[in-house]
Amino acid sequence: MGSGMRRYESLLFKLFYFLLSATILYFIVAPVVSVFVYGLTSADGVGLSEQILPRVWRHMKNSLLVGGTVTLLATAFGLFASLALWRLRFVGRGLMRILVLMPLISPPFVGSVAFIMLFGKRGLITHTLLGFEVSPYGFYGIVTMQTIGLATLAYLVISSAIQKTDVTHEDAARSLGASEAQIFRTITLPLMVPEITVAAMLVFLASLSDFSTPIIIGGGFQTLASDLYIQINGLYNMRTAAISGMFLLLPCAAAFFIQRYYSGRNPVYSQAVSADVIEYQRVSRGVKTVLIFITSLFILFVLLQYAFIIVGAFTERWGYDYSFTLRHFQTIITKESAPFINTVKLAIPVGIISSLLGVLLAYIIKSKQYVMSRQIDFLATLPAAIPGILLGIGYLVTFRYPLLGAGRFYLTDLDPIILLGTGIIIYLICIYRYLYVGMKAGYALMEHLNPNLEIAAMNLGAGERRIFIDIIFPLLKPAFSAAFLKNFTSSMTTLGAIIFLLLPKNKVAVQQIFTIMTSSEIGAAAMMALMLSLLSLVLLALFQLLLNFKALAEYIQEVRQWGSNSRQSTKHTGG
Amino acid sequence: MGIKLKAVNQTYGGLKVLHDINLAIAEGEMIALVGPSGCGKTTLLKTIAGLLPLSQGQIWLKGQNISHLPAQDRNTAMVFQNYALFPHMSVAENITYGLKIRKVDTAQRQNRVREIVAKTELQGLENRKVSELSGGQQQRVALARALVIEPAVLLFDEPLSNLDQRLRVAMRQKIKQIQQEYRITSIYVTHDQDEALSIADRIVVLNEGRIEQVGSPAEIYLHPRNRFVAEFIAVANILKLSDHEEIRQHLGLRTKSYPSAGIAHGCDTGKSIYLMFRPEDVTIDPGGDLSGTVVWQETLGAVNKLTINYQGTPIFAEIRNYFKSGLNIKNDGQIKFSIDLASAHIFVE
Repeated sequence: MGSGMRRYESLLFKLFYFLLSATILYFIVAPVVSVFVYGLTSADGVGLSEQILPRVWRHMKNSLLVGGTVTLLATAFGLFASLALWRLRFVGRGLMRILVLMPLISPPFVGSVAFIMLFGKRGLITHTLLGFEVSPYGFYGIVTMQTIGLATLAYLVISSAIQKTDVTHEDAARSLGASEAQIFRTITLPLMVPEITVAAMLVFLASLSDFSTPIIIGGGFQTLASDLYIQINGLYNMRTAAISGMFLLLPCAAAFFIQRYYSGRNPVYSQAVSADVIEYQRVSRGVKTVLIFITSLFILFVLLQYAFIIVGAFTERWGYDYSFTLRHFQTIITKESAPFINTVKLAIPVGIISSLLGVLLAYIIKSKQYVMSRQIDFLATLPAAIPGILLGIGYLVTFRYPLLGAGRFYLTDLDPIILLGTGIIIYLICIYRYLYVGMKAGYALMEHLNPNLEIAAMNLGAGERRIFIDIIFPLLKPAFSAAFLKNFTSSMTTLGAIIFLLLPKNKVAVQQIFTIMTSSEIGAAAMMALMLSLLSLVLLALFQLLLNFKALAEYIQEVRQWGSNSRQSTKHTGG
Repeated sequence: MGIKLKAVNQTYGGLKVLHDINLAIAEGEMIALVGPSGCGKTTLLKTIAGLLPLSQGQIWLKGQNISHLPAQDRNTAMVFQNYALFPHMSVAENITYGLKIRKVDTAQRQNRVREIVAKTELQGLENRKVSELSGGQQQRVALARALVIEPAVLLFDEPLSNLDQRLRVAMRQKIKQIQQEYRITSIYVTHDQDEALSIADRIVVLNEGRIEQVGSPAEIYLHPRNRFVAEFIAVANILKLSDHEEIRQHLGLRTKSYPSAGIAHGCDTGKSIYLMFRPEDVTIDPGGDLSGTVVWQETLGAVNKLTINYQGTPIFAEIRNYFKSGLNIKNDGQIKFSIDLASAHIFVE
């Protein structure tokens, strides 16, 4: 019996699982541990309590203040927009559903570029219109920009839940006599608490991790993440940076665990996917107007950002000379094209490899009973909680030394640089950082697969490897595609994790924009941001096309048919 | 007066799903709405509840025109197919919800809930989460939640379809008992004919958005107006009389006119006349005057079901106490039988 069963097992899966697990320890766990080791054991003599802690504490307060405010605002917006775009019926809804997602493809600080254009020292509003010399840099600027940037994230989470609303709960309350307002307060809203919490925690995490917005428009108001950047890039103080990182990890970890708890228990929405109409039948005019107004206002902001980016990209010098020019475009095409190529060269392999590994790992964890799989799942998901910049520092302090960083203590004579300073390390950090995306997509898909599929195939005599190739892999493809698109987009615009690891020769576009912006070359930055957004868009469309080629072909066929039909019918009516 | 539907029409996404529904339901009456899926029965129920806006016609409840009242103000309570219990509330909170909305004071609220909980046998489960209940228990919470607000009408939307057969039978008895005790006007949507026959004072058969027939269970069962109702409500044998000279003679009818059957018209308008009888009206009898071939037979314990090929038309028959009857029926064997023509029914179509 035992040997009979073994015939069907494949060593490959086990090997893959243990190798990947080992590398997860090496590329995810070790760097995080290193930050702690480095922060706590470094012996450069600076008193922890006198100098570092007050500074860290001040930035921590700023971080929490910004994070809390942004979370509140962005989540509220995500909720309003989800209600407006999915539970109300109005003209232009379809277009707005697309426009609201636009911030997802642009680099994270496109908003900040536009903000400087409007409110900067030579800003259109502050300087040209109002004649101010001061600018609203600082807390309000950061909150505004982060809210606009992260509201889309909240919208994405809440709207995907709202689409699965089971309206019979509301109908039940309705038939029991509850008014529409009472229904919303006692039924709809409480049932959305898990999704709203998850959205809020993701926004909170993202706000805490964001270092670029405070750097660009924070002025004297810096947060833990941005100070961390300053510590390394400006003051070369790795130890303070490591300690800041430790403190940054605390609220992030808390948010992450709350989020994980709530997305784990999701009693309402995931059960029944109802085909019911979820739009409200009776909505008061006032409520409808307010919801649509708020959503439109946000979209207007997003569109304005792009409008200013476009204008800035094609004008001579923002704030001084608004004449049309192709100068920035030419500069980038001739001198600055390398970062774009580097970006694409990073994003495509990272997208493919991390998605593939993630989906595979999810499959193995779910379907094979290998040892420690729950722990590995946990460790691989950890980067979701770790700000990119923190993981970046982890890599910086770990891979300066040979042998897992342990070489710091034992192999002091060896050439210290092993991974750091090679291009590979950037690929590695991105792949391991995004592993969990593929895993999540894989888990989500597998929940809908019939668990008896494998048993059925086994029953028909297929071995483990055959089952995977013939049955599981084709079924998991959608998870891979989804993860790829997400990871590709993230890699195109990532900065935090890799900013300390990049060398001049493999500079990426986002970093270039960031550098240019901090030296306030607005026109060139705007042009690069514009081009990066367009590049993401074009490549995304291309991949979408490749991944859904069949669906697209069918769609085109349909459109053609419809076109010819309608042409025929117009002919009929015309003749 | 309970409920009155006057020429109710319902259009849904450009599609007409209810045509001219006219129906009067007496106070305290239990009406079953039956029909195949997609016939519009749930749409009609939701229209009465106000959960779907009415396209045309009028709905009256206790002498009040409620056609365009919002669902909240109609004083109807609905028991949903998937129960629609509020998952974030306990059993007691679910049941109390309607009373809280109505601002009933706490003492009275508690009394009412206690009474209903006892009536629906939910004692001891008050503080449970709804996700911890069995299907049958959830069903009873849904019923209790609707009953406790003492609605003018109770609307059941296939409330038992998610339960297994045994529980279904027990629950429909329970529902009937409670309905009779409170004498509460009820409309009960189901696609299960047995459920309709057992529970309703009157049955409304719907097909493609139209009422085919309204009548007591006996009327619907014994005197269906047409082939659809006859076949929908239970297994029916339907013979076209012009094809079966032997049956006509059997009936004592002459070829051209059928005065004895009480049919004065319809024969000359190109329509046909059908004889309908139920399987239990067929008696297997060695001395019977009709004969056919056994196509299929199956034994279900109390009843033996037979399909007989009678001159090219299948006839369904039942034998009670087959095991004790000493009969030995084989597939493809010839068989003699007779039809209890006193119970047979004739319709023109």
